Amino acid sequence: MSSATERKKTARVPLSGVIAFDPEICTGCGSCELVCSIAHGVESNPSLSRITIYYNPLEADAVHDVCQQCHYPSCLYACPVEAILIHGESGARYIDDDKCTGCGLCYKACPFTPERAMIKVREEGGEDKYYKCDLCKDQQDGPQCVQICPTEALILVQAKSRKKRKKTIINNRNRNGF
Amino acid sequence: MDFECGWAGKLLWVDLSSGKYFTEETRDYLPEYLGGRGMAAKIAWDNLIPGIGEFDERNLLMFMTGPLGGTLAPAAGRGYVFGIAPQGYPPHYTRSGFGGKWSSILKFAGYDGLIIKGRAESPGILLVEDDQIHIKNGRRYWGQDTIETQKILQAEFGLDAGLIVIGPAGENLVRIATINSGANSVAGQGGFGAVMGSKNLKAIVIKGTKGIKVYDGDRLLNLRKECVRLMGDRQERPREVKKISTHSSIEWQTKDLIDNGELEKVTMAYTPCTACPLRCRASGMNNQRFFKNVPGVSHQGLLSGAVKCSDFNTMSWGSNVKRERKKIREKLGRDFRFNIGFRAGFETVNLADRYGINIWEFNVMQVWLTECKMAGINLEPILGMPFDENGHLFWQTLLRKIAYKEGIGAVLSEGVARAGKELGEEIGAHSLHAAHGFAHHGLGTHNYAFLRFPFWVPVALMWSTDTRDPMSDTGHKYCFDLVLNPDIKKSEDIALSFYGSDKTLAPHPNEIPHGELTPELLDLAYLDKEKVAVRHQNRSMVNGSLILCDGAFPLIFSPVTDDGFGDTAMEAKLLQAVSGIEIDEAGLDRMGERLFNLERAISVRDGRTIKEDLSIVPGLETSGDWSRGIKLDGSRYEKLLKKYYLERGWDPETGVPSKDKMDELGLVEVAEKLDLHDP
Repeated sequence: MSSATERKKTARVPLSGVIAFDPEICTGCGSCELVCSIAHGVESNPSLSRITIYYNPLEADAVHDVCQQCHYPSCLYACPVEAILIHGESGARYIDDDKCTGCGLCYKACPFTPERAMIKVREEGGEDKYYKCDLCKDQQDGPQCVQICPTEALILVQAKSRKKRKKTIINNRNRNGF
Repeated sequence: MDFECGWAGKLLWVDLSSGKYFTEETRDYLPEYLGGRGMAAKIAWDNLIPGIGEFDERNLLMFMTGPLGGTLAPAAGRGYVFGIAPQGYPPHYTRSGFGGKWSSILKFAGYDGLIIKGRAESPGILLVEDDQIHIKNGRRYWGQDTIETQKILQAEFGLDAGLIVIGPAGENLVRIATINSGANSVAGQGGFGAVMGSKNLKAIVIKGTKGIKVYDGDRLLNLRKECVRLMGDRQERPREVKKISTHSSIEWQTKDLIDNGELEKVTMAYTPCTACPLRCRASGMNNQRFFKNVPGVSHQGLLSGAVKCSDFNTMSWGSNVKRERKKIREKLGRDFRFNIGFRAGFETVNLADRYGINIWEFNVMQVWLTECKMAGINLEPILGMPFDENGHLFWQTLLRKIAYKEGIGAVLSEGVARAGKELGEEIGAHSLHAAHGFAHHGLGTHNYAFLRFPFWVPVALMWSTDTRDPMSDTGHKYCFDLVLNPDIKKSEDIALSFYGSDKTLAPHPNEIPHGELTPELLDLAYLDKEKVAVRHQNRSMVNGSLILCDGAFPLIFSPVTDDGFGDTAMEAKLLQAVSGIEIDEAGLDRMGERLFNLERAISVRDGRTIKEDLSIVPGLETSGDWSRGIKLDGSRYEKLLKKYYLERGWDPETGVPSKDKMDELGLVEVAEKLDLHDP
């Protein structure tokens, strides 16, 4: 329990908002993917999007992958260089591009890996850079995907309305030395 | 100008004969050919010289996208396929559009267009993964229907792969074969499925990880919002359509579902193209739906698929023209009714999609055969089975025969135009072939009986001078926004401003309720209609090049503004925001005119003259307006066509573009090759 990383594991981090998704009304148009890639870069490019829609044109079914902004973010605990930070207002767990070394430990730590692409990787200047949903912390009007969704299938659930951490779990975790 | 924003940057040419491929810079064609239809016209002019047949190895199958595809521009997800079309009569260069996601995925792979030539030795599929291009063995897919093929390909390449496939009809070179993407996006008209089949190409799989640069993202987002606002209250919350019974427009068609208590199992969905906020509701075509889990009748299990205007009419004749049916019965003395019912009908249209058969042609065949029966013709000896217009098994058997060219299917698989000739005069007289190989569409007959005289006169004019039926990518907005607009005053104001004449919508059909026309009314009906055709054709050329959906653009009408005006400069604004090119509405229209003349030059090089343009007349002189029986006036129409030629700057006697006009449009080389002279 001496190193900074170990200490961090015991730290309770503030709750975060999260993007919720209703597969019943999502039409699978993919506007969210395009606006995400533009909001975080210059290109309209679904493969650089932090939200991924899996759309089946044969059944008109859509499911989505976007970071769940866990109460106990394994990625944050796993990052050896403290590149994963908590954003003040929204509580979003986000990856600082400048600090990210591309080690991929966050990706491995993510409880959804490898079935769902919550944390993705791109190559930038010969280096791997991991990226994930940051709830558009730099945008004034919040997550752009939520803004653009034509059917309001995407909703931003605020931190305060998310289910509170259960005390018992926290106690258990504390007892177990987390 | 480097054209870095908007366009993906490259055109991919694949030669199936040699298995080789190469790329071409898109910027070599810019800015004057824009993309899509414009670029394809240039490639066709350079490559598809006269003498190349529809199933010739040298025929090109061109899949094109535009600069707006793959961006957040609304209604910009569609794509086009071009080439010498087997359905054409005679086969000629034309186009067919399709929605879905395939076209934008092609752009994400880095290509503005995919041009296929040659013929593979054995059945194959083309796989494009960014810069990696492979032609793979396609034996295991050959013979499978479009849905099953896509299921296998999905399992193999993942859900992010864009798929287009052909069905058994395309493999068997059926002239009305389609190219399908997903369960609802189909390049129907033209028979390009057969071209793909003739090239031994079963499917094209695209995976892309590249991006499209956008010049001004914020402006694009604002324009997108503005477009959605102008589309107005036609937007519908998906939650509201969850229950079919609440939806009046299709309630009567789903009656047998409701009666059987099977409604609960069926749900509906929207299936928009990439990034489109409009969900196929833009132009009032609000009967487009994706049904899930419809129980089959003769097939076990649940079916899913999209149902559009022509599909509803396949299930039950007259679903689009309920109000007109009584008039049709009174006027023509016959009721063309056939009713397969919703469930069995859904199964039938699903089967057509699986075989890859053009449902519009099939629907016209249904009307044609039913009409023959009503006229007292015994169809049994010709069909080789009893004619049962209300039986889904009959229609499904017919579909199978068409797809595999068995018996009567071999004749009908050639399309309405050829089958009408083949089956003799008595039956052929009812065939509803309009011109150039395409069956009636928007000419006041069958599904379009609500389009009353004189509103179908400009449609006929567009048809005369185009290479295919115009009531899809050319005239949709004329029909749905102006003609069917209940507020006549607003329509007339818009027509005056958009077409430059207040006579373009005159006389209103309400002035001729029983179809009795005075010479004055007749003169008025053929007055200034050429302006409608020219305006829409030029704009359709622009929108086909950018590629914007014909259901949404041009935004000539808006239900939310006080005067009803939309924003016809929206295309130019969107292009500015996406590509950074400084261009206004007038500039785009000039570009459209130029490109339309280039398409005309291709037709003229193939021998098109006023004779072919007038080939629509005999049919319309006999069929006419179904709801009131008004027929086309041949001599007045010919005069109108000549006025159209003059408006275009073409020779009024031959319909060939004049050298002056071509020079003015900067098509000097084209004029030289066509050997045009000053009059």
